[in-house]
Amino acid sequence: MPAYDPSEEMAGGTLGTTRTTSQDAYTQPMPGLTFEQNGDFAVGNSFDADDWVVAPASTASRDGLGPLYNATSCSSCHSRDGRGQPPAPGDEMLSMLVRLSVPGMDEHGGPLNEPSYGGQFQPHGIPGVDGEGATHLEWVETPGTYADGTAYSLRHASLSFTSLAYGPMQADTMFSMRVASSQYGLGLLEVVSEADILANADPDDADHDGISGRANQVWNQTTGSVTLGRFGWKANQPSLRQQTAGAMLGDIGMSSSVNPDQNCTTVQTECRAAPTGGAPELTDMILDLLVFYGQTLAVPARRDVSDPTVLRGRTLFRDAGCADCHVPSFTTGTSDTAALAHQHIWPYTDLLLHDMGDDLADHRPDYAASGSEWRTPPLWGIGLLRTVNRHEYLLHDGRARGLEEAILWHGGEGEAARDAFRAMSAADRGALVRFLRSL
Amino acid sequence: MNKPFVLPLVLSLSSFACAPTADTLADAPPVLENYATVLYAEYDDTLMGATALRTHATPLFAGTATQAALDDARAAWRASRVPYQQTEYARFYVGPIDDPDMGNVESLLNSWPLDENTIDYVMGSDGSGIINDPTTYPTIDASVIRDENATPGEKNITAGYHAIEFLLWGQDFNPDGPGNRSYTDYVVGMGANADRRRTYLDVSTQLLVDDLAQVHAEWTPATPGNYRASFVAVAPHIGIGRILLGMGKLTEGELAGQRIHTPFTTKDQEDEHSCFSDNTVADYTHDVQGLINAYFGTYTRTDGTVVGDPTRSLSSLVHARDPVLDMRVRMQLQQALTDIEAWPTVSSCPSVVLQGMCPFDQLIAGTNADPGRMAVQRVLNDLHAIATSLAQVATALGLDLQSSDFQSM
Repeated sequence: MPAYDPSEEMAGGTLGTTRTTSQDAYTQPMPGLTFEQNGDFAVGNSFDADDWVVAPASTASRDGLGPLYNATSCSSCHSRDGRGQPPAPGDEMLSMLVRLSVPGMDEHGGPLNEPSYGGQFQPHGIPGVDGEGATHLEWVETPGTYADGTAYSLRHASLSFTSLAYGPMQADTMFSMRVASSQYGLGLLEVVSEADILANADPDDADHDGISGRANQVWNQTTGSVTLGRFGWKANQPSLRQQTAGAMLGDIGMSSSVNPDQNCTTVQTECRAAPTGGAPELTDMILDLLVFYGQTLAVPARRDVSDPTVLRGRTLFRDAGCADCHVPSFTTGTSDTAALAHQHIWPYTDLLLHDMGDDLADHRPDYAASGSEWRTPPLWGIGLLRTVNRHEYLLHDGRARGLEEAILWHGGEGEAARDAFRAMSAADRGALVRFLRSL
Repeated sequence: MNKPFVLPLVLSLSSFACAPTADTLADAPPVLENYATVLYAEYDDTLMGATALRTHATPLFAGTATQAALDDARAAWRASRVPYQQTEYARFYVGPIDDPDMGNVESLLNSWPLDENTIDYVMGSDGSGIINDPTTYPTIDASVIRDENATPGEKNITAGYHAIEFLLWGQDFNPDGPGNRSYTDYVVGMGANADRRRTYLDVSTQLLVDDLAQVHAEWTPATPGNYRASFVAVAPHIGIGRILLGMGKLTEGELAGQRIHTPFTTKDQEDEHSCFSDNTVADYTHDVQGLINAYFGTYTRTDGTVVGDPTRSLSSLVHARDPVLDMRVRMQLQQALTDIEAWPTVSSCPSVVLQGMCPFDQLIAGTNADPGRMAVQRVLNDLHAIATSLAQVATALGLDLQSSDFQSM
């Protein structure tokens, strides 16, 4: 196993790592930005942080919310550029959403939208347009025990709709709940070369280690072709520009040059008739600034790297096989933004899809990703989640209440690592978690 | 944590929460006390300003609306902004104004941009807004407006100073000046749903007063258990850290980034802080005046009296350690104020000069070589320089704050 490398501390590379450990830890500009780039970052931050408003409004740059939407701003879900969470009992989802599709594929091989509600459930509507309805989560606890006899309990949610404004959904609709992911470090992941990502792929498990690693191949609206997917819980987005434009339309209801049409189905007549905030609502200039902002949010530096317990946890992480998918480091390729180029980074992800077993499956395919495959999420910065977002709800639907539970949910290709964790002593489990908290 | 770490803008390595500093800041507690004294006086004037605004708006909602009454209410709104803007340096360290656990009052007071057509009619949509929708909202009361704003991120912004601004001025489609809502909007029989508009103005001005009273109470002296009591008692480096973080974020993230650089980039005429009244320049002037108050430790109240002790100020704290740096911050703050106050004399400012101010939306139009944009750029440079100096102040005081900490709002 590789010895501790001093560069591990600088998780986002020498130009893309922040030392801030406060609640602003995820919202820092990369230190390597130029003066002008800092200005662009500030403008992007403004459009990320502020609410979009109902059109027509005097603030023409900022209107076009809805007609249907999940949230009024990026930051309402990615609070302080961090991670979302499931709603408290009785609340409607805010930093979490439900993807919808029906069996079949769209013209590009992606999920086929539910005919009346589209590809995503949007609880809210602007005045005069009914929101799509309301959801309810029922949490179910399942007890378990570690090898040393210590008990734990895992919870998962069953989803129901308490109201549906546009009639019943198609009977075979598939649902996938997703919390908002954190936004920092994404520009670095975007410029990891495709060859470096594919080097870890082993779709047929040729080396018989029980771990496949498949690349998602998704429709790229910019190139008009199928390309490698990198972003999203199922790696269904090829670029931050497409990811951002998709979220602006799906979550907030802002059309753009990437998605020129409003997000209304044929039965949503009020939605289709509502005034728009321009054609498109989001100008290319603002879209580009938003993308730049997302690309240049710095990654938090590691803390306590020399702590003996942390170093012990680092060894256990690798010995248990966690690092087989949570691949510790890459070197980025070229970029027009100097802070992103040729950086030695420590994201702890291979950006590939892995079958995580039945218990985690959403049974909703997304391009090449099956209903039980998920992209390895990056782990960098995860130790500051409680500081920034005041919670530690993990996994795609926020079911895990902390790092231990997230590990215990690993199945399928992650099962061996999960079992190794379950077999550890309490001290070793603590050390492994301490290591994760140092990221 | 002790490895060499050489990066631009990174000024200190230790963890903020437990900064192991050689400087114990033994002279800081009086500075915290004086800061609280100054800020409380500013909130006191702010609360009085909001109360006066409600008083001056009363003829509009009590059924005696005239053009003179509308003008009077507008003047009271502008006056109420003067002390409020001077408190904004206290917005960014999870205090009484912005702590989610205390209701995030700031989001009810000063949220922007505004969902104006959720409140009232707008051009192209005569029937829009709560005011014109008696079916959905049979009564307009505090709970209706609070509920709309209750869950940030889900609903619409319909409360606070900018909501009242919209009720007084209306939309601004006038390139040479502010919006021009007619007083007849408040005359039953003339303006559609005038009675409901009156109620909305009544309720929203009362909410403004109530919300400010809550913040005011948290900063009131000699009140055991309120925020001020704990603020002046925290470890000096935590308290001074809050002061600097608030000042730095107002300077860089909010004023330079959000409020000036952003519209400077988009050139959207109404992408400005007080777009209905064109009060934006006055807003910014008083934001900078607030920074000066916080640094120099004194405040000139609305009635002309001066509160605060400059010998127990952040400036005096810095002066004791690095007099050159202290002098630089003082000069930079004054320079920023001077450069904003110079905006009305810019040759590209149109003939319409409002309240002695060149409207911000006129300054940002044109090319970077135009005098207006150059004048705005000068202020941006001033603010960046202040932020850099404040990070140096943090270092001089042994605090772990970096320029980049000031970027987010």
